[in-house]
Amino acid sequence: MKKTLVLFFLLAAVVAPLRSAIVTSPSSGVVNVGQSLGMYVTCGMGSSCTLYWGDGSSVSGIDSQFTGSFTHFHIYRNPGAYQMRFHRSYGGTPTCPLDEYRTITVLENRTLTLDPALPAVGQTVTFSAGNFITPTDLAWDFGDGTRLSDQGSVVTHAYARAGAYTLRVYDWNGNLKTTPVSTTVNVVIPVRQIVYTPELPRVDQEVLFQAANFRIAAIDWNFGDGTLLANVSPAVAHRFQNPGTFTVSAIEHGYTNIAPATRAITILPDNRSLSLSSPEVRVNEELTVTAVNFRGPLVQWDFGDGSTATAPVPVAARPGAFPGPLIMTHSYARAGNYKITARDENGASAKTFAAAVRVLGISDSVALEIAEITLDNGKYYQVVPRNSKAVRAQLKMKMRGTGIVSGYWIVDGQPSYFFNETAYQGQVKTIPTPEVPGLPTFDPGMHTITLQLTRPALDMAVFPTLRYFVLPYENIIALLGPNDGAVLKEDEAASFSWERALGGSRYQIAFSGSLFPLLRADADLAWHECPDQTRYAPDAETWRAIGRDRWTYWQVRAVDSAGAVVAESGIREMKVIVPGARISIRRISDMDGRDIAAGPGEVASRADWLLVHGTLTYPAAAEYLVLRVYAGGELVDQLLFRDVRQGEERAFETSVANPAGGSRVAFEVLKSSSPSVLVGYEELRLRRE
Amino acid sequence: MANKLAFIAGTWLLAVCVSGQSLQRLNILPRVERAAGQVVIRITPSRGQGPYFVHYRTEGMSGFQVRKMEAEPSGTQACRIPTANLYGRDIEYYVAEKRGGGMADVTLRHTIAGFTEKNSPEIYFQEGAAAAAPGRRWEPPVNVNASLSTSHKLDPNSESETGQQRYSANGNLRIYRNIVKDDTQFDFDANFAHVDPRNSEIEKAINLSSMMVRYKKGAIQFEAGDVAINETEFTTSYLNRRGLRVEITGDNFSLNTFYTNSQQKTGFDGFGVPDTDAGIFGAAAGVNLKNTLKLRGMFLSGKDNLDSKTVSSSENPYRQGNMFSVWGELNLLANSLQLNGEFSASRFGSAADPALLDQASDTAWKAGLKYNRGILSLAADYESIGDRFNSIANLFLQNDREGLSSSLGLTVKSFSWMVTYLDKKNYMNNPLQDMLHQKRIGTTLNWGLGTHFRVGADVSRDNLDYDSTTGLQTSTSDMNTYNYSATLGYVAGSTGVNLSLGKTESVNFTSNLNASLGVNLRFGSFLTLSPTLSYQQNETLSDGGKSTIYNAYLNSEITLIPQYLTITISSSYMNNDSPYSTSSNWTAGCNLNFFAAKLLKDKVRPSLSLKSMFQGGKYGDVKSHSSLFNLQADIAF
Repeated sequence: MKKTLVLFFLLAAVVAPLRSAIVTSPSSGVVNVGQSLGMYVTCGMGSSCTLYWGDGSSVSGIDSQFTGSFTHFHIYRNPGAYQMRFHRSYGGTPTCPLDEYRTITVLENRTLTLDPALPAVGQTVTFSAGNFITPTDLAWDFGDGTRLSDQGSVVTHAYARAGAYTLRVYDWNGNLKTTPVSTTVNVVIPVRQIVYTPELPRVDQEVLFQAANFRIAAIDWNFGDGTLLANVSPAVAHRFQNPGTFTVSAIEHGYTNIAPATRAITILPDNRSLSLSSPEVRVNEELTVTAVNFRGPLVQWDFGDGSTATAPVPVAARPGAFPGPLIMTHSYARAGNYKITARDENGASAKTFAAAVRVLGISDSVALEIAEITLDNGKYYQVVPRNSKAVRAQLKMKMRGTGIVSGYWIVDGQPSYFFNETAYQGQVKTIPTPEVPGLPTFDPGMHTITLQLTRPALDMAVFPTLRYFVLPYENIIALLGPNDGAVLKEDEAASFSWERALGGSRYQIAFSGSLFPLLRADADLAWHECPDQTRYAPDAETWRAIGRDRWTYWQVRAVDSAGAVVAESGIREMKVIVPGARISIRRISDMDGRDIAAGPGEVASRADWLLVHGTLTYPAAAEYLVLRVYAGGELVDQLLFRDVRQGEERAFETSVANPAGGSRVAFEVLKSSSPSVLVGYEELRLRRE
Repeated sequence: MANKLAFIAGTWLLAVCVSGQSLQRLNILPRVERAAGQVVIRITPSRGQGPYFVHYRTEGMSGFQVRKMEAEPSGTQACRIPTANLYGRDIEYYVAEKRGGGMADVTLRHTIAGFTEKNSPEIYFQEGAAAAAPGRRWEPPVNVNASLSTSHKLDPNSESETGQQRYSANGNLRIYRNIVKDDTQFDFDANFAHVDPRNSEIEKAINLSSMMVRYKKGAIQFEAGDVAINETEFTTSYLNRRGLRVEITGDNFSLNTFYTNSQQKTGFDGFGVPDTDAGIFGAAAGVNLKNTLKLRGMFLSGKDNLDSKTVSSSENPYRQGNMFSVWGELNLLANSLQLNGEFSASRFGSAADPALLDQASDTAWKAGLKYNRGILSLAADYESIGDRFNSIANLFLQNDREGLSSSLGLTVKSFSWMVTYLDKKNYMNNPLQDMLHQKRIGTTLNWGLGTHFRVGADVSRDNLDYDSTTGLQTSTSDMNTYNYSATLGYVAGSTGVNLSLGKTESVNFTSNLNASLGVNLRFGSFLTLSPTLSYQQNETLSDGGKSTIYNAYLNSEITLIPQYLTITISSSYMNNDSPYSTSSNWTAGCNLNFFAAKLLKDKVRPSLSLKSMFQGGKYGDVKSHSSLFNLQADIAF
């Protein structure tokens, strides 16, 4: 620098004889505090000169080094405008002006900064002194009575009270006689506030919150979305899972008598998604998946096939998941339906994005193409009486592939009946609600039923909701006959009768050798129409189809015009028997023993009472046989035969009334096993003359 | 006081005088003598001519046996009753005298106890003959049944997870009339339903939820309303729609034609007037030659729309097509052998937009036989269905396949056993999917054990393999699926139990285990319990990941006062564990129902219900719960 100045002055000396003036370096005469200022003046040769710098310092004498010229350097310590004066004292005739002047401007480039700029009471403030001449030796006067000497350029200090303080920093080795660099420090009473970043966050994006100026570092947070954090740091992070405007509040932990600081934050909707190059690919065919608008830089991927080949760093929290870039390519080794999931920010994002891809080929996944759920009547709505079993729902599906179909029925909002069945390729699968127990019909009013599939889950089929209305009354068909447990002779078809039910348009009767088809309302169960509404006499074919010598169950139901069941009877059992015991009527007499002529199965007489003499024969041995005699529907005799031998003929005598209008007498032979079995039957018709 | 005593004494004397005649006639005391193998009943008549008859009966009898007493030299009347064949141990008897055309008791009823030391077996006492059904009663010109159910949320702030508005009202009005006279039948049946809350976009406030107008005379039948069309697999299988149908069924021929509204947007809601742009027309004509040869031809044409209240589909919603089909059946060997076949040709197309409908033609055929003889049954059929073949009236037709299916069955009383074998090719012309060869063999048995038990079992092996000749296959592996299942059913009266266990394993893919138990228990008229338990476990064999679901559901009714007051309780619990998530939810409901129908002699049937429902759930660490209280009133007449 000095060399530069010397060179400058040499050049100036060459030019100087042409005029007499103070030349400065820099020539503008503007320097910073502490910066060296050079001056040069000619026409001073042979004279005594005094240079007044203007700041109270001066230089006198003749420069013997530069004949006829005067050169000197000076450093100003304070900013300001100074009048430099060069005075000559001549012994003879002056050749130059006695005095020459030059204005010097000294600028201040020293700075004071403080952090924070607006400190609060008690808050530690960091002060920094810049461009000071002696930065390692400064004197600090904080204006609140605190003075520090021999300090560096960075110090800290906290003000105990609010107010405006003048900070003075003395340069020049802390010389208090110099003019200090000063600034005003405004110390404020602290205002609690919540600050956050980023400014416009989206759903699931991490937002950093800072509780500023709080009294303590233990903060209770309420993010306004139901998330609460207690006794945590003033700096927290949170992700909002829904868009909207939320009011975030924070309060010092344990402070109950002050209001919390609040701040509204607007969360923009999520704009992230997954995009597939194709929803269906082949085995080993490359699939490209793009994480659209993901924040990245990494995404935690799971392709659903357990593959971690792309990045062999499994994430412990999600088996099978691995980090990857925003755009991934993948190929599947096996066919099937796969669910691709991705979590932004390498899994830090809470939201999981999913996309389904179908890999064509053999797999155990079935693809649902079309499904229908209906009630018994083939519709979505049905009306049934209370406690009716005549309402079931069924799922009918057309699918591709072989695999498991599982799910559950939801009745009145309650997961009720689960199913898990194997569906085969090409099969139209029908899955009904179970018959045991049936759909609830205890409570009157509207009931709903729908379906949720858990497998195949990827099809995400949404099923409609069916409704069935339960009437506030039971509607049961009262059966009249034959009575429960009746035993009927095979060569005499029975007549079935019952009472009408409310709402019955038509009546149907069904017979079954087992309870199950009736209870389950099996589709292949034959329901016979009953044109007479309240009675049914089976035709020969139907009667023949009923099993012999074993219990048969029968039930009557009433249907509306469309065939929907509106009422049912209970289930009764009966047995049609092929008789084995033979009853022979040998003689019929009046009470005085006089014989009465009888035809086959019929007798006519004027007598009020008849005595029937007969025999009973059984083709096998029996410990007990019971002969029961019914006249006009009344059990009028019951005889017990013990230890009957095979083929043995046992005689009996019984009386029957012969009322006007005639009567029908039935002889039944029971073999008293458990339960008793009707093994013989005979009839006699009485006609009163 | 004296007057009072005199009144009582006078009354007593008067009563004695009035009843003296009866007392005199009934004051004969029979004498009973027990002898070997018989009892002898004797009376000594004070006056009267007789004859006298002994009426007696033993345990279980509702009427009496009658025997005439014989006069003995001593003037007594006697009757000997052999006891060897009498049932029970006691004889109840009395003696009556025949006077004029009737009988008059002359003794009180007496019992001879312990006439024998022998035991009589307990026997099943059969009731008398069937009661007679009431005769045909008068019927109004039109029958009307109506019901209404209104519900009011007691706490407006309470919410269920499914949401519910504060008031709801649902009702039905059914109008019907059925007339049968000789060979003429007329049915009119319509049910109007009002549903609130409802989805106003697809439901109307009042819907004609079911409808049928039927007129039948002899062989001709006309139907308008909710018709069900069921012809053949290739044409239409249980097409349930609203429409018109005319059927003529003769001994040797049949004709069936229909037109249905296929616009299912509102299901069976509204009045179902067919839209001209969305309907299916069909006609079938057949001949029957003495039940030996049956031939039927059918034609179908129309448009369909899958937008429905009952259908969930990933297929194109708009469908259009037409087809014809010829079906035949030949019965031989006294109907033991049945040969049948069908050939169909269709022109069909479907699209996401009706403007994009593009139809293509294809054919399908099948031939089969059935043989039933005694306990054996055999069935086999071979079918070939083109990839572009489809029926406008059958949503569930599986096309693009060809192959054999067969079964061999054995039925002995309540035991049935069946073996099935299937060999079919699928996706024969699919540009995306390789041809898939399917072979499956399986066996099923059902056995009714006595009256109450039924067991069933099913075992099958299914093999899927690609036919590499198509050149599309990139993987050579096939898939074997093994299925094992067993069921046990028990029914006794209103009590039923159904237990099922099953395992399905797709080798190298997944293994699935499931079990379920459904029970229906009825304890008299007091308590009905219907619990259901189920468990499912699914294991992905490639990574060993397991997921389990278990569920419990209970539905029950407690009758506090029969026909008047009940409490119903329902609850459910479901837990779902998988490698990625754990969730559980529960519900509990309790309703108190009061039925007042009996108070009003069933003329009107009102009921009042206080309902409560509680729900809760836990998904991961997030919990939720809600409760709902309703007061519901129902009425029906």
